[in-house]
Amino acid sequence: MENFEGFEKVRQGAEARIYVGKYLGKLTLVKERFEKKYRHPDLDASLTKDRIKAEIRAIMRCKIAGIPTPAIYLVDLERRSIFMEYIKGLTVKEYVEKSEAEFSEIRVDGRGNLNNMLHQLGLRIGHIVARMHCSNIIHGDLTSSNILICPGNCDGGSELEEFGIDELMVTIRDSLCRSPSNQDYKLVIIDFGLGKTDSSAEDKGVDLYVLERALLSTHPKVAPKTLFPAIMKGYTDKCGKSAPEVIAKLDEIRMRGRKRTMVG
Amino acid sequence: MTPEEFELDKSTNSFVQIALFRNVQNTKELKAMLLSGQLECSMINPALILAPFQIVIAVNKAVLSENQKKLTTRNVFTEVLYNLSASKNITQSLKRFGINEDDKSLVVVAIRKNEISSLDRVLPLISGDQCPIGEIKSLTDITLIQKTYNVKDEELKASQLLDSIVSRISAKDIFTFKM
Repeated sequence: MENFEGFEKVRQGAEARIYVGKYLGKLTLVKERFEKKYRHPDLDASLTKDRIKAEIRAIMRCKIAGIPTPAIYLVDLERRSIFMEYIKGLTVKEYVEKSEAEFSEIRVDGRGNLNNMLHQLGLRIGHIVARMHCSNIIHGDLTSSNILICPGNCDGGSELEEFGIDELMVTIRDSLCRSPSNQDYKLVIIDFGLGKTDSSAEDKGVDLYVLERALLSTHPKVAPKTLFPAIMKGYTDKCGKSAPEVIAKLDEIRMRGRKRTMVG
Repeated sequence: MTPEEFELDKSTNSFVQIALFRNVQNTKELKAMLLSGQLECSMINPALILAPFQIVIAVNKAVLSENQKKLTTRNVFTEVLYNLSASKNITQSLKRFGINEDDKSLVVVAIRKNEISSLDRVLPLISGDQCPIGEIKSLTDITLIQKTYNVKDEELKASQLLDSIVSRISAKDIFTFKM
């Protein structure tokens, strides 16, 4: 990012760079969709603009529907960047991996406790995905890295205090174990870069399929028996009438893969 | 009393200055001066302001638009009022967020670039009591804010009202909000 003092690059993906810094007095995350030199500049500019717009639309639709997403501080199409609230928390991926390591070390009956906790977490993830789908929002890239888990009392962006990962782990685990349905922690959905609005069961099925595949490969020990079944239970509980159709689609997609065959 | 000052986007080299006034006696004249372009500032109805951050977000966007030559309204000060609203209707936005002739309290917003600010010229013209910006809370009308920005209770289960408002201000060019 040019001419941007005070920001530190923290991640780099195929589409964008992520910077964190203080902006307008708040801890802020900047997602800059950098230039792709291999594309024609005009095409690159218009693709980037469209993607930033699609991402903002998905974030705002979620927010209005009561699904936690980061607050937007600035959309700067000129600088190809979205400035948004930095959320203090762990990704579900980090949380699950750390929990797996800690629980199996400390206790003999670690498995049982771990499974119980992941079951609760899965239910909540299922609920939130169901709510997105009920509002016809397709995330497009649901993975355990794109769901943040953070203590309910965290007021994102407000203070630049250091929050240790271990401290966060303890707070989150405490609230997960104490009572299943409590609101002491919240799940925040991030990275709507592939988001769109669609009401078809096919798209919702693909959304779940992507999540399943991501979880199975990222968390092979806990995803098949605990985490994903809990997500599906949470999804079915909250989704109501439209759930069977989406689940039928999911089964169909499992057989053929994410892309539809173009034959016939 | 020195006005509250906040730094804007570093690329603009600008700061926003915010001052709150109560018991204002000459709102009618101030409004006339604003309309004839004599005052280089925005004057905002405090009932619709939840926190200074809301103003900072709107001013930051206005100053960046000015630098990028992308202003929607006549100048950066009307742009601030327009930005504050989630609606794309300019007249309505300026009317709602601007001041009315019989208002007794108002928020003055000016921009300081380098050491130059228009605020010094504006403040002496206001006959009223300047108060700390923190007192804005007592003038905020939450019900009116929720109605103006159309934030339903459903949304507030997952988001703070201030976050919902600033997100609307930031996203209004891209997302059309139901009003």
